[in-house]
Amino acid sequence: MNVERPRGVVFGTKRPLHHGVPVGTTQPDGLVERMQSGDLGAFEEFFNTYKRPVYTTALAITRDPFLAEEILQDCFVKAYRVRERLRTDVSPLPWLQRVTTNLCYSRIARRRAIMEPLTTLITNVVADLTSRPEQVAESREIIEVLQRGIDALPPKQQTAVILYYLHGYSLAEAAEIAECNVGTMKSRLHYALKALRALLPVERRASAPDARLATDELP
Amino acid sequence: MSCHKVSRALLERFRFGELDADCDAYLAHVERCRACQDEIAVDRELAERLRSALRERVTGFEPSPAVWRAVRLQAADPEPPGRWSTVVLSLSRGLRVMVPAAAVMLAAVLAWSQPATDEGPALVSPLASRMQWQEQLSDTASVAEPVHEVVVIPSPSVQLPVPSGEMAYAELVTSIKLPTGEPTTGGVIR
Repeated sequence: MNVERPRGVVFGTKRPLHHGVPVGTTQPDGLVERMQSGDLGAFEEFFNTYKRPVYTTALAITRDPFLAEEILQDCFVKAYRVRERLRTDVSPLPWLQRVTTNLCYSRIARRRAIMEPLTTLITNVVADLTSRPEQVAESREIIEVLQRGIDALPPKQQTAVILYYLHGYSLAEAAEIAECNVGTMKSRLHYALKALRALLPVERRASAPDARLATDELP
Repeated sequence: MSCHKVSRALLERFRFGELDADCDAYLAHVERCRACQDEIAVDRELAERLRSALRERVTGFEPSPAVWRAVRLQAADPEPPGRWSTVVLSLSRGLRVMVPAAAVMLAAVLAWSQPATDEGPALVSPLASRMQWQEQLSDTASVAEPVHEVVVIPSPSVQLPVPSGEMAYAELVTSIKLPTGEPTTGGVIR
């Protein structure tokens, strides 16, 4: 099967941002080359240029500001150490985001083994609180349900949701970061939304397709 | 035209902003189908809520300036060796100890297996020497313990005493045979 790989996507040129995170940052002229020549000032500029999207991804996945800072640090230290291998003709952002997501999930997997009982306890407490509709506004409740739903998504679907809905990357950009084709990215988003939709209260969901057929006005 | 297919195809196109002229038939259907309209509306609302939830996760957070200082310090450190170089390094360290040890063991085995020849005395290992020494000890231990035998030989000049009064008893010459073989004479039995 011929798998189309989106290569050479120009980041930040297709879609406006939804939330102001500077995803559209392109590589300043010769930044990576200067960094490769050992210019520490160029490395600082590199850090300042890309730290925000990297940190946002780490924070969105981990929901822990301190852990997100650690991941940000590890990501840029790695970037500096492999600077000789960074491509100078494309934006390093997809590579940085890929490293970030890998670091996040490896850290989460390591921490989950220790924190699982506590997390379960907190989740249950939150579930108890949010189950009282008279105390919690409906929209707030939906957001909380969605937050838990995002946490429960498989890593690939979670990454797809964060890249597409938080960063506002196009399908091609998100697919390049996730190292898959556009169709796969669409599929991951579809199943992620389907899973999240199943968590919503019944009255917030649309009726099932089979049920709609009875009232459909098809010719 | 199935409503399910329409809604699925339309959802994808609405969701990813891929509406074009090919969608005219679908859009015409949506204008008449309340179920598809609801489906699209719920999907849009879910997407908005999802964006809000994700935004909520990151709003108000900024990486601290300390991160750059830590990155700069860590980046200035020499790169730790990779996995393969670590393995090779540890192997070379091990070889530096193992090679002399193997040489010593080989020499010991060769010396042990080499027989004695007329050209010269065979090398005797400490273990062999110890074993021979123990054999000698056991041979020595098999010698009978010396018995101290006392033989009393009556002298011909002995006159049987007359048991009367204060007459002395006859002297007896005794000969004591000691392990050294030297008889000892003398002794008085009263």
